[in-house]
Amino acid sequence: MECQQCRGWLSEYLDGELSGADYEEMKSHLELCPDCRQVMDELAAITQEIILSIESIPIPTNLTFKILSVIKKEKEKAAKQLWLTGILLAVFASPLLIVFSRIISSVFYLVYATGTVFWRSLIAFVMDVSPWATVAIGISSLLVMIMGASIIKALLSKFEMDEVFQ
Amino acid sequence: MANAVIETNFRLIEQVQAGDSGAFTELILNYSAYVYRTAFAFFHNEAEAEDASQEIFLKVYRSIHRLNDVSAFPAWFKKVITTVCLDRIKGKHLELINESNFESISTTASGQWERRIELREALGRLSPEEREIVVLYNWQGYSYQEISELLEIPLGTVKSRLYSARMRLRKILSD
Repeated sequence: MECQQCRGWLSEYLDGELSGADYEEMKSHLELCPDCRQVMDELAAITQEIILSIESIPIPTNLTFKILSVIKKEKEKAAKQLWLTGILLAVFASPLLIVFSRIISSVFYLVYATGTVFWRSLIAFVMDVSPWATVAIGISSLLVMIMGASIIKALLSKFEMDEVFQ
Repeated sequence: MANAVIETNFRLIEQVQAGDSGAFTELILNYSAYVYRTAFAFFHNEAEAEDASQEIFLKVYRSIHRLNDVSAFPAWFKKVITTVCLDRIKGKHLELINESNFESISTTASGQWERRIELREALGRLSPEEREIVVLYNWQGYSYQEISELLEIPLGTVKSRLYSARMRLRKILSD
């Protein structure tokens, strides 16, 4: 083995990455060649010292504080997002809640059933009485509605709406 | 193969996963030095190493609950550190200027300490590619094959780059 080839394999030899015939060849050459052996010893020492060298890197005094601050900000951001998500969910889910809520559904059904009964009774009543009586009832109802609207308007006109909303 | 070992308190990791904020503070206190030193070894730039350390812990904070097996924490943590550092090197495509304030080698410094500082400075003078491969192999403890996958380079390139990095370190130190 030539010295040039040996130098090329030194790194792998040191890392235990050579095997079989290559390893044996390297071993024999290193035993015979003091120059290559010296290079190997130097590389081995450097490899060993790299860890100690990195372990001796000084740490900035405020490093931990800075990291903790970043994490604190992240927590605050996450808390805000949680609130926002909760509110948005409540807003978007509320119609669904109304539709699917059993109580609300029951109330809707009750209103529907009552309305149906009332409507059928009205139809039956109209069918039974004379047409003139129906017209008279219709006119009376219209008058009652106009009167009711006037009363409500009069009541509201005396109200200070601004104060109510303030 | 000698490399830095991440000593792990698995009980602490479980507490962190359970959402104990005090445990996460303890995790930061325990590992911030290791994380910073690893980042500094990659960049040889204090500001970049600090920023990377913050990013690493932020990633850990966001994703540690997804770690199913606590015993896998050391390998997972090492991967997070490596990924953040390599992404920063890749993303910036810049030759970081060595801004670190290395201790000046005083005549009173012990030989051992002096040698460590010299070696640190020599690491700083390597190209980013050479330095990352030395850090990955000698400090992080990745195998040739793992480095080849991490850096997406052929195995032969890993071997030749590691060899040339070590030979350059030897030359810098002997000059």
